[in-house]
Amino acid sequence: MLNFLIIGNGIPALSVAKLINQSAIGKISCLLTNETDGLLISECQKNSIPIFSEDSIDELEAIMELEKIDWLLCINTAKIIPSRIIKFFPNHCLNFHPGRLPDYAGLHTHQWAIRNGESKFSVSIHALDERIDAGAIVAERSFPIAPHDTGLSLWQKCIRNGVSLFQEVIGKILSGFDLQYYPQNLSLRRTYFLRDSLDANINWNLSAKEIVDFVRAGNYYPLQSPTYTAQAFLGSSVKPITVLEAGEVEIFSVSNGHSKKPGDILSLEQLGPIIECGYGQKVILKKTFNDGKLMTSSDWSSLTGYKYTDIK
Amino acid sequence: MSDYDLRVERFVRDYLIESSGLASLPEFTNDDDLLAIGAIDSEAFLELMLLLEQEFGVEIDLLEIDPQNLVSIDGISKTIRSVIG
Repeated sequence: MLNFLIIGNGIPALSVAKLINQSAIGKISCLLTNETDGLLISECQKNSIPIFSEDSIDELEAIMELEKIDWLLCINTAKIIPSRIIKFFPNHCLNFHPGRLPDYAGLHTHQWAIRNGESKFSVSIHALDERIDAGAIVAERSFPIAPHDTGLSLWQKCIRNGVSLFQEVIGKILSGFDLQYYPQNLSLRRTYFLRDSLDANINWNLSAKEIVDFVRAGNYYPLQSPTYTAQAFLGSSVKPITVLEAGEVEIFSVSNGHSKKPGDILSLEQLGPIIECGYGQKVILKKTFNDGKLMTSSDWSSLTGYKYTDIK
Repeated sequence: MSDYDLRVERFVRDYLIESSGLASLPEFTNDDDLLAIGAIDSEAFLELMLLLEQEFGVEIDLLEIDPQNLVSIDGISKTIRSVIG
């Protein structure tokens, strides 16, 4: 019998828990989770698995005999595992990272992948060591980032691929298959922190494509983005306008020849305003909210004083 | 209401009961916005989408489908029917 300790949350942890519970040779000895109810909790209760909060990791030795655990699985958790615990499970401590390694370590990396203009992304399962997301890779799966992917739709791809990848790895472990460990090239490592992802204001000095990507990466509508949703102060707005969709404007001519600076409104189209950005490029804001209400062209008109296609 | 719609409704309501840990749910209609009334949060929304995919054998791709169409039971039924075609 193989004994597993799971630290995790949500459907990724649930799918792995179900797989182990259904197997004849696997047993979950304990679950550490942030959840207090839900499907993961009921799956574990149904199978008489002891459940503790994630914070119990700091006193894990008091809860259970670690010598009896074969594998520690970290699935959809941001909890940092103390190195003294990791040392108990050399190469038997796995973490699901919803991002490509080594260049997208850290938090909310799928949003950064969009912001950085990537066209492909991956999810990874790696061995845990003392450094965040730096252990040897056991499995990874790549998938394309579509030009219109949002933060939400890419996160869904990460979770969907991560669930099936982790199930595949657990299937191998339960079948007695020896996992291969591929060390990361840490010279290529880049780590993203939450504090780097919180500024929601559109930087109009960026190129049109960079602004469009910034906007779609922050778009989790109708859900709450874990980091930011793009916003801007435009026209007479005293509160920030929330921007969910923007597009590059390829052909635009300013009729009066006055120079414009990044952030200036150039005209108002039916879809929304066209704004000057960096490198002389332009973007159009297509889906915007003011005070929680979807903005129409007439809302923009009263906010800016512009009429449709009225170039000033 | 078709058998299919009833099956979706039952699945979603059962999910909400199990995920909330409540014995029964506060009353709401099939066109209520589940996010707005607090019946689900962001994590639960994605969990529900994956479970619906498994249960009904469909792919609910949030790139192709406006997530706003998936916030009510009626919207979910309609979307699943259209994905099946």
